[in-house]
Amino acid sequence: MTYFQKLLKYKPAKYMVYIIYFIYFIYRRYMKITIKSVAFLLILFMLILGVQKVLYFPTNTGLSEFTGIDDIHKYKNSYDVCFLGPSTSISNVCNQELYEKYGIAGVSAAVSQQPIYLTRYTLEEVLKYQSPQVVFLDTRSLFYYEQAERTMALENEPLVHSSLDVINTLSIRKEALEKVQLYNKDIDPFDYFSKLYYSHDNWKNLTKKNFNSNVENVYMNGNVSFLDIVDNVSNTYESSQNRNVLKIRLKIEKDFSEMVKMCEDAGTELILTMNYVNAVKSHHLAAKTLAKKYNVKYLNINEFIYKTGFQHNLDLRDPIHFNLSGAIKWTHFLGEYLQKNYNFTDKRKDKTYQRYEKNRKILQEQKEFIYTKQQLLSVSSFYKYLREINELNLNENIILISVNDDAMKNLTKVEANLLQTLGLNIDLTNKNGCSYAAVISSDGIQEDYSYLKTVTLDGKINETSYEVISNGLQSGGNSSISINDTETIQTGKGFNFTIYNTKFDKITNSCFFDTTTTINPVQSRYKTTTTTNIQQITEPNIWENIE
Amino acid sequence: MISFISIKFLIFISITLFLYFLFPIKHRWLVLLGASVFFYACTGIESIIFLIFTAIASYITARNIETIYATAKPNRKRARLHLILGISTTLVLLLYAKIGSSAFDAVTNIFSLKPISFREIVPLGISYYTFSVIAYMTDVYWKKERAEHNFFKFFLYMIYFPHIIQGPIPRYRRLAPQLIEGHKYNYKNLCYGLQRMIWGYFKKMVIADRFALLTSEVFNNYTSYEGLIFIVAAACAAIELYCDFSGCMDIALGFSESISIYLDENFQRPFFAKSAAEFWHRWHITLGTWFKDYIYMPLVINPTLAKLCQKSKKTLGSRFAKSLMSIIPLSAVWILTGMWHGTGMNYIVWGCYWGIIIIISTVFSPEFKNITKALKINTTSHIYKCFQMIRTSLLYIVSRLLTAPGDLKITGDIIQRIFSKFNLWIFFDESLYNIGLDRKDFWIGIISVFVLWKVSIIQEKGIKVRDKISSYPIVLRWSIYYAGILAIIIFGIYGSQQTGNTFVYMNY
Repeated sequence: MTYFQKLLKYKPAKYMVYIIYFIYFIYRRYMKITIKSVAFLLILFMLILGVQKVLYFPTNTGLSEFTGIDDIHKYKNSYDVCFLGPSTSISNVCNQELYEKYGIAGVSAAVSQQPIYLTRYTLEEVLKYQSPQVVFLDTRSLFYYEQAERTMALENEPLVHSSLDVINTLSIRKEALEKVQLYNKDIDPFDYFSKLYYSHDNWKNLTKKNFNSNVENVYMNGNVSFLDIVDNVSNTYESSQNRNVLKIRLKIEKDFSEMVKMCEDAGTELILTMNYVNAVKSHHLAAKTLAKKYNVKYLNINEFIYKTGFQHNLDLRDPIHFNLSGAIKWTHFLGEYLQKNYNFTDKRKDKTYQRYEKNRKILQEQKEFIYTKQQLLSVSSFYKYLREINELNLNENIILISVNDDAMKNLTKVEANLLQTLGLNIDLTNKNGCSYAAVISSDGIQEDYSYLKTVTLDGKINETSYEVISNGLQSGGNSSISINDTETIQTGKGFNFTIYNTKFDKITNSCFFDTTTTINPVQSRYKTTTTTNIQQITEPNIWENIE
Repeated sequence: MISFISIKFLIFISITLFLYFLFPIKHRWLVLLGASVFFYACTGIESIIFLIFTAIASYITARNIETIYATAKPNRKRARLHLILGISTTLVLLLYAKIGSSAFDAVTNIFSLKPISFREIVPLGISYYTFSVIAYMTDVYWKKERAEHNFFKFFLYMIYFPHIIQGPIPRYRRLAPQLIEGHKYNYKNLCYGLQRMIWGYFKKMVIADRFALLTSEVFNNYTSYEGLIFIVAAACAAIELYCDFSGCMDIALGFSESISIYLDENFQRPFFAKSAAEFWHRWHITLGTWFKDYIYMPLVINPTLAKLCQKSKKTLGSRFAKSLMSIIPLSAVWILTGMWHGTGMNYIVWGCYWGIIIIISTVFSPEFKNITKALKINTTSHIYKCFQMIRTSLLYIVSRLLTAPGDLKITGDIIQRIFSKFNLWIFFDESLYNIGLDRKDFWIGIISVFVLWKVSIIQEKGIKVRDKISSYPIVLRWSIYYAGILAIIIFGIYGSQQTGNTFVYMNY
């Protein structure tokens, strides 16, 4: 008996030989077809991947498309702290600053308007890839009404997508999807398991960016830096009269308790954070009670924020989101708190955290922009304003000037000199009642004046189009300044300014000074990008919310 | 339910294909039976009860008829009785499903009874399988067919999943043997079948569902539009329906072809038809032949009709009496065709519309010929043929105005609105980009129709497109396949934001 025959007596070997023979038979019989089919499918697969890469681009999918959770998958077990919840967890903290100043690696894995039943799955995903010492959970979603959660599932489908797309673990994603389906039965599950299936319709919105593989991620460690400033926002927390404890819905409490359990199991500290300044006292009391019930730490931003130098009229982007300046201030507070209460190794000395280093410059530029913006907003005199704008870097800024009425009537010599140093070639001191417009940029100055006629300057500087219209006393009528076809200021008597930052494509400042009178205060500021129609948070009727 | 336009369906047919070729040839029909039962079961248990009841009734009827014929002295009257009983049973089920709810409401209204809630059940494809079993039973009665002894094999003929949704309405002798005999794996058929499916998906998802956005916007909000917009919408509705229905056929026929089963063709480029009668020889062919074989012909050869014509000869003249021989059967066929499509009044009017056109063109055919002769029109010229095609297409577009809005009253309003304004400028300003489709979608639709038109011209010339493509070098050939697949993936209307995952003819 040969060795081969002996081997065949052994059953598994025998079956193995049969299988090999079968494969060989198929291979011989259908070799050409098999190779062709495989090649065809392979090329098709690659084409589909290519198309998916081009089409699946967050051009119009909203705030939360690139959340920090991508980094959670990329850099396993590398984060000290994690911020979860809705958009306030994205905007109100700056993880880059946390790293630069305190050496703590933080990440925000949040999605706008995210209901807690989805945050619960985000946490599950986070804990699968990371072992943070602390997880901050925003309290905002504890107070979402059931109707709001339903509306989000039904109407804010891109945000549901943002929440689910970033969950790589299919079983977790499936469970999360089942939760969403409780609110919206018509959801097509394939939308959540194939990026191409979901985004195939994006061919209509293709831009150059879609074909660029090195797209700059605007989300640093899950944060977005808001660079706008909103004024006219009152502090509802301070003025809040309602001292009743708002009852948290049972479903929400259940999800919260599951999150507490998950963190306990993972050895992670969960901190409940009231992370927005325009909350109401009844929210605070409810969150505090919940934290106490589950023996979880609770941190109310409203109790500490003013100790950080936070200014209500300069550090908010809207009633609930901090701008970068506000986020930096709150981050400093958190950094101190974390350093004091936990042991973190300094990540700045660790070479594996180089990814933070490349963001240093971006954050610095963003800071400079927002601080300049704050500075210009705070200035009250024309003289000081001119001094400030004389300091601006013209490589990044365009200064647009338009006068209205008899703007030069009370112009002082010092002010005229400061205007000259800005680059004006026309002497305005003897141009009473004139129309005058100027555009100052790194390309030089473009200016014109007329005693009787309207002066109009229009053109393009790089990608920015502008139109400046000036009407003096003689020509009569309104003046205006427009950037990219949008009027930036509702002009008033005197000197009208718009400072436009080309680096961030944002208006740094828009205002006018009434120089027709002898006193030159800041009269008004109109049409900056954020000041219009902001709704205040009103105190909820707590009895309606009790389940 | 597993829609043809779903990932589930693609997974389902992949598994079916795999299992079909994995099973021994002799038992491959069992895979088709299992797959078809599973496919149908996904529509709901109530639908299956209807289906099984129809299957049992028609199976027993056919067997009984055969038993009667097998006796020494076959009693044809008894066989006919069984046939009538069998057909009645299946028709009662069909009518119950189709008009049960409205009939019940009418009865309760007339007799002022206390309203009772009536649960409407419309089993998937009931019209199609009812017609196919009626054909089967009648053919057995006419001795054109032998009754199937194996119930499951008969059941497979009825329930075979590619044709159960929208047809084609099969004939037993052509389909059943193909289903039951196993087919060997054939690479060419597999490829050709899959190619046809891709073409079907292109028609349905890229063209039909795209134009559906426009037509639904216009007909659902008809008070917001006027003038030529409705003509555009009706033209789009015509293209939509053709691509929807023929696309589904391509998917059904394509899948069948991939396992070497050939279903009857249901479409033959109807917009190239030169007359209304020819149009209906090219559109929904299996329904047309069904009506011809089981309604028209029996009526034509009916002795009563012949007697009636003889009688009318004396009073109405020989020509009119002769015409009656076709007028009466045609009228019956077209009223029934209208009713088959729907129970609403608009469908009856739609049937009458086509019936009248076809009757006029048949009866006055000699006069039309004389007119063209008198006008010295060269009826063999390309221009005249084009004129005929456009005329037929226009007739069809007008007929869509009867059915697309869904209600005869709305159709009346729409016709009034068409003549209220002659807004020719809609073709030159941006108006067309604001009625359900934006500029990009609109142009994708136009380009796709152009592709369809080019392919149809090639087919009309008798060239087999798939044979032609397979003769190309591999790079070009594969490029065409990839372009087709990617066009569906990118430009197809699908996903949770869209509603175009059903077929228009699925409701019949």
